[in-house]
Order: sequence, then structure tokens, then C-alpha cells
Amino acid sequence: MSVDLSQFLQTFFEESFEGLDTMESGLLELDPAQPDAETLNNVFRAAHSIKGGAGTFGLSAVSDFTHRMETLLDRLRDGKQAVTPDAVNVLLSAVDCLRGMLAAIQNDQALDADAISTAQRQLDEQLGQVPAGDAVPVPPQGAGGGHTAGPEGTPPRGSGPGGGGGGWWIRFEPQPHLFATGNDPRRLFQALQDLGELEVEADPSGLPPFEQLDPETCQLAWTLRLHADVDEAAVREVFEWVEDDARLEIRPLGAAGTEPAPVAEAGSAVASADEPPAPGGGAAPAAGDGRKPAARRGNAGGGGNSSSIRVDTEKIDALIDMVGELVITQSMLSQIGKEFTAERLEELQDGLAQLERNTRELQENVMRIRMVPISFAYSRLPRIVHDTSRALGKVVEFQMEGEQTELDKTVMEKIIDPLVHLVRNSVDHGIEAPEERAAAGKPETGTITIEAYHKGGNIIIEIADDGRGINRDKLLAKARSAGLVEDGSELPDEQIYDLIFHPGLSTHDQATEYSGRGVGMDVVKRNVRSLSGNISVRSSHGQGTTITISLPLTLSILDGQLFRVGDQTYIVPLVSVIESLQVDAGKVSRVTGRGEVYHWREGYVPIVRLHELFDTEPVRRELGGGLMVIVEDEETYLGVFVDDLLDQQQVVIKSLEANYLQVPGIAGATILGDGTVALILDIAGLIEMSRGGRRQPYIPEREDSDEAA
Amino acid sequence: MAAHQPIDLGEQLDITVVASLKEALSDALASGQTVALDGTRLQRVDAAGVQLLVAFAQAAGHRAGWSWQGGSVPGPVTEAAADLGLADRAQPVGGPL
Repeated sequence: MSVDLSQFLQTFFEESFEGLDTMESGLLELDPAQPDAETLNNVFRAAHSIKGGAGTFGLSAVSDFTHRMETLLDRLRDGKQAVTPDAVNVLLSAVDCLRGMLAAIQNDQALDADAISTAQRQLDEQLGQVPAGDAVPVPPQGAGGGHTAGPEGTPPRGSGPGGGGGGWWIRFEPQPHLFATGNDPRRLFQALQDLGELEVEADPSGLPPFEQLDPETCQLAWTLRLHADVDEAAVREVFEWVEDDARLEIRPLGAAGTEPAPVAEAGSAVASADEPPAPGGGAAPAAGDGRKPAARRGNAGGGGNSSSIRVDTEKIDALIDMVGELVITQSMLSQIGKEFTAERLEELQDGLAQLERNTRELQENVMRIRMVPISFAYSRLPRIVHDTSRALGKVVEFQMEGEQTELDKTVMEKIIDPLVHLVRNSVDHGIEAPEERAAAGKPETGTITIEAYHKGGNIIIEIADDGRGINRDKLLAKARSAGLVEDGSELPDEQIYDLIFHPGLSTHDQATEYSGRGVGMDVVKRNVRSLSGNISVRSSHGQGTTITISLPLTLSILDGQLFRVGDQTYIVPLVSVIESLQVDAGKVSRVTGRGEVYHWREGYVPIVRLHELFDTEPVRRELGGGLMVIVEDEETYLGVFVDDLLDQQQVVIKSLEANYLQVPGIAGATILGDGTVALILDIAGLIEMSRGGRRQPYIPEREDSDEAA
Repeated sequence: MAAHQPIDLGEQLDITVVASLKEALSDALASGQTVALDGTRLQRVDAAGVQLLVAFAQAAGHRAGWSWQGGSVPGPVTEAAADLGLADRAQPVGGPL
């Protein structure tokens, strides 16, 4: 009976990506001066798991590559090789490369041969098997299906046999238990002899004195030279049954047939013969060439996003409890329904109230299942800080707080890129060079802190640095020269800092000290806004900048206040509603450039007439005596003039963007109990519109949005 | 010094016998006398057997020495040791193979 492995492939990818995250964080934690053995072990284990899984699924390109990483890690943890910053960086690059390989395979895309070649060469240099700068054979194959041995005439490297010609150099180091598995190296070597001329060189250096020898364990190792015109797969096949019980290294013999060519370890640069070589041995052929159809099926629609989620069994148990409660309530109501009399009305109402509680609890518990700690989003950030600061010669301490703060998985996945962009910007443009900091009387080590916490129905993420801050005056001058701010007009600080998100400023004058923060910041803001979130900036020149992102905990359901304008029903998130009031005409003023404002709580709030924004026909145009809902977003208030206030209720959010277009001022839509569609207002968007922002729907530019930040 | 009674290796020098053979070889080494191995009946030799032989040869070389009964290395040992790249280590120092 054969087993369809493809059903497990997605799990393999998920676990591998998690393993890569583990490797990455472990490597970043690693202090070359005092490497922690357990950390190295963790990184090694993660690499080992990926290699094993890849082998199981026949992804030999991955297993071969991972084997090199594993070999280096093994040496590091055994103390055979010193943990150096270079070694760590090479491994980090290899993690990136491997991540790319897995993603490519998952998405049926071609592997990046250049990146793999570079990463392999770096690994080999670390392993001391390739002189720096020497070329390493590139696996010239499509995704996943194993390496391609160039048959005769098309070796992967000039001098290498590539499955023919020079032959193979093999290092075979059995584990002590090899004999116990019933394997006899002699039989293996005899099998190799069947392939061609074999030179066998035993390495008895590990053999203990006779008295200490456990004769049932294998304490020998061998170096073999096989002079045969065979591909690596044939060699590997010989060792098929001992791969897990030995360390195996196979390299093409050099041109002279004696010296091993640069390493291609256990899996090597050239392997299975079941695929043709890429023309010229360089460019990877079309995605998935040679891949097993089953594997391909397993990836269908993967799109690079993991589509499953791991759930604590506790959360599932809670769900089951809730369903149990619901069933009890349902049977109670059913009983009442069967024998209903007017006297039992109260009982029925109690039952319905119970049903409502049950439903809400069930919903909350279901929502909890989608909640994941933000640490997933954090995981990429230390690497960004490490790489960017290293590249720029800056010294940065990166602190992460609130890693266990939970948010919806979808929100989490979509906020990763903006966070990466913001943190990189903080290192790049926020934190000064050590000498500049010293000159300013600051510690040479800059600090970037990211913190997440819940506030109301939102999750707040703050990214703060103690860098040079944003030069308010320069930013304002820039905005003025760009015509974004009228000459002579003054703006409050927060509005000036908000200008960094303006696309018009985003790519200008990268050399200036604030402009870097503008590069792509409009895209960051757009991404945050697409999550119904908000982003704001506080900065103090010379002292640092804090960027605050506020996101809804979930994108699926919200508690809303319903109201009517004309024949349209609108919803605002209840958390945004500050007050509903009857308009006192005496408190309405008209301010030049700001339209109508309402005197409210010792201040003025702009009034928004939805029918004007959305070009609909209202029932009432006269403000005086009408109803107004004061809504708030990030401490900015707005008076929404409405015809009628309706219920408060929970609504399930349906994406307008996915079903229609992204419309300014509208966060989404929902279907009400009577089947009508109601639009959910985006308060931040309304505020922007009321300030003269865009009113037309956005024509979708998904690619643009995806590559954001 | 007179050679100890030759140790008969039987028909196989492999993983199945190495543990008990090691004990016999240890005892022989401990006797302080030259150890003679009788491999005339040998039919099967594997890597575990050759490994034991190599370790024994090394230890005996440092003591009273050892030899093959009859002077020549049994054919199966020669073949196995050659297959495993240990031909020169499975014989007494200076001895023929």
C-alpha cells in the first residue's frame, strides 16, 4: 500500500518555516565569544528536522543544502570549529537561502540558482573545503526534484565529473551503532566496486585501544575514491540504507581523478540522474521541473501563506464546552416552543437571553482560535536590526516587549512587512552612527524598542528609537515647497509628522535626515489602513521617534452603532463612538478652510455630512435639531451628521475591497438581519476625507500593496 | 616464549562472534605469551571482525606479538581487510599478507 505523502507536504513547509525561524533567532542569540551549547543544539536540531523532512519528500535540493548547514553546525557545537561572527552570518544567509528555496518549491517557482550557489560557497568556505571565492557547482534544477547530474559532456563544473568522467570522492563515517543495524561497510564497498575501480583508505584514528573497544560498535571511518563513470545517485543508492547511521560526504573527484573537487557534501552539488541538466548548467528551468506531481498538488493555492493554524487544545476544549452549553439552551428553547403558552413568555425570553450569551461566548472562543501571539511577527525583526545595523556600522540594541500579546492571525500576517519596514527605517534613518551619537552626548549604542499591548478593542504596537528624531522644520519646509502645506499656515506637530506618510514626500531627498523615513512610508500607512488600523508619529528632534500603530484585534466581527442617512444604513465601530447628540444650531460655526464645525466639550469638531461625502440623498439637510454622532480616532474627533440612530449590534465584516473596490471612508460592509447591506465607516478615512482627502475609490493595485514596505 | 594454544576463529569472524572472541583474545594477551590465531576454517569475515583483528594486532604488537597459525593470513581475512582498506593492519608487523 502506498502512502500519499503530498497531504503532509504543507505541514512540512509550515514546520520547516518554523524551524527556520528557530534557527534564525538562535543564530541571532548566539554570542560568538561565549556560544551557548543549547542554542547551537536547537539550531542544529531545526536544521536536522528540515533535512529529514526534505529527504522524505524527495526534495533533495533542500536536504542537500541543509546537510551542509547541519555539518557546519555540527562542527560548531562539537567545538571542532570556532563560532565566529562570520560563521554566524554565513549560517544566517543560508537560512535566508533555504527559506527562499522552500518558498519557491511551495509555490512551484524556480529556485534561485545564484543565491544557492553563493550560500553554498559561503558554507563551504566555512567548512574549509573551498578556497574563498572558488566556484561551487550550482544545482541547476527546478524546484525540489533533486539535483541534476549533468550526463556526459555536461558536467556542472568545468572539471567535475557531474556523474561521469572523474568519479567520486566519498567520506564515510559510520556511527558506532552501524553494525547493530545489520549493515556491513564491506558489503557497501563491494557494491561500489561493482560500479568501478575503488580505492579504499581506512581511517582507524577513532579506534580505541583493544581493551576499551566495544567490538560490536563501529569505530572506523573511510575515505573512498571511486573511479567510475556513474552519477552521484548511483553512489548514493549504495549508501541508501545507512544514510541515517553515518555521516556521508560525496564529492566529485577533481580533474586529475584524485583530488576531490570543492565540496558537495552528502547530497552534494550534483545528484539524481532522473532529470536533465539545465542548459549551460546555469539558469534554473521552469518551476517544478521534474517535481513529483503529488508534491505539486500539495502546494496548490499555497501562495506562500500558511493556511493552517496551530491551536492549543485548551482553546478547543473551551469551544466544545461552549457548544455543549449551546445544545442545552437549544433543547430548552425547543421544549418551550413545543409547549408554548403565554405564561411561559418570561421563560422564553430567559432562554433567548441565554442563547445570546452562548452565541457570544462561542463566537469569542472561535475568535480566540484565530488569535496568535505577535511574537510571530516579531520573529523577523532581530534579524533586520542585526543585518541593517551591521551593514551601516551602527550599534543597536533591540528590545521587544509584549511578545505574547495576541492578535488575529490575518492581522498578524499582514502587519509583518510594515513592521519590518519601520524597524529597518529606525536603524537606517533614526539611529545615528556611533560617533555622531557620541558627539551628541548619547551612548554609542542606540536603542530600538518595539512594544505591543492591548488597549480597548485594539492592539497597539509602538516602535521607538532614541535616534536623531525628525527635523520638524525641514519636513514642514519640504512639504511647503511640495505644495502640500500652504505658505504661512502653521500645523500642529502631529500633522507635520504625519506628512512623512504622504506619498508626495516619500521619495524625495533621501539624503536629508528625515526623508528616509518617508521612503515607502505611504505604503506602510496604506497597509495599516487596509487593516482598519491607524499609524501615527511622535518625534523629538535629537531624542528619537516613536511610531504607533493601532490595529483592530480582529478583522472579522465588530460591535457597531447603526445609523441611517437617506436610505442607507451605516455602521461605525462602537469603540469609536464618543457621544450621540442632538445638534444645537447655535453651536455650529463655519470656519474658512475647515467647513462646518461644532462647538463640543470646550473645543470644535468638524462636521461631516455623509450624504455629501458619498453623494447620496439625505432625509434631512438642516443641522439644527438633527442628530450627530461624535466619533473618535486616535484622539481626533469628528461629528457625523445622521438622519436617524438605529441599534447597536455585532456585525460580521465583509471586505468591500475584496468584493468591489477600496473606497475611502468605508472600512467594509456587512449584511444585516433583514438581508440589506450596510456600509461600515472607516473613521480615520472619514477624517482624512473631511480634510480634503481622496473620495474616489482606489483602483486595486494589489501587487503594489503586496510589495509594500 | 612459547606460543599459547592457537585460538580457533571458527568459520566466521563477524559481528555475531566479536564479543566472545574479544574476551578470548583479551585472556590470551593477558597471558603475556605470543598469541597464535587459527583462521584455517574461516569462511566469513565482516567489518566488525576486521576491526577487532586490527585492534588486537595493535595491542599484541605492543606486547608479546602474535601470528597466524600456519604463517599465512587466511584468504577470507585477506579479502575482507583489502576490501576495507585495512590489509596492512590485519597482519602481524612485518608479516606477509
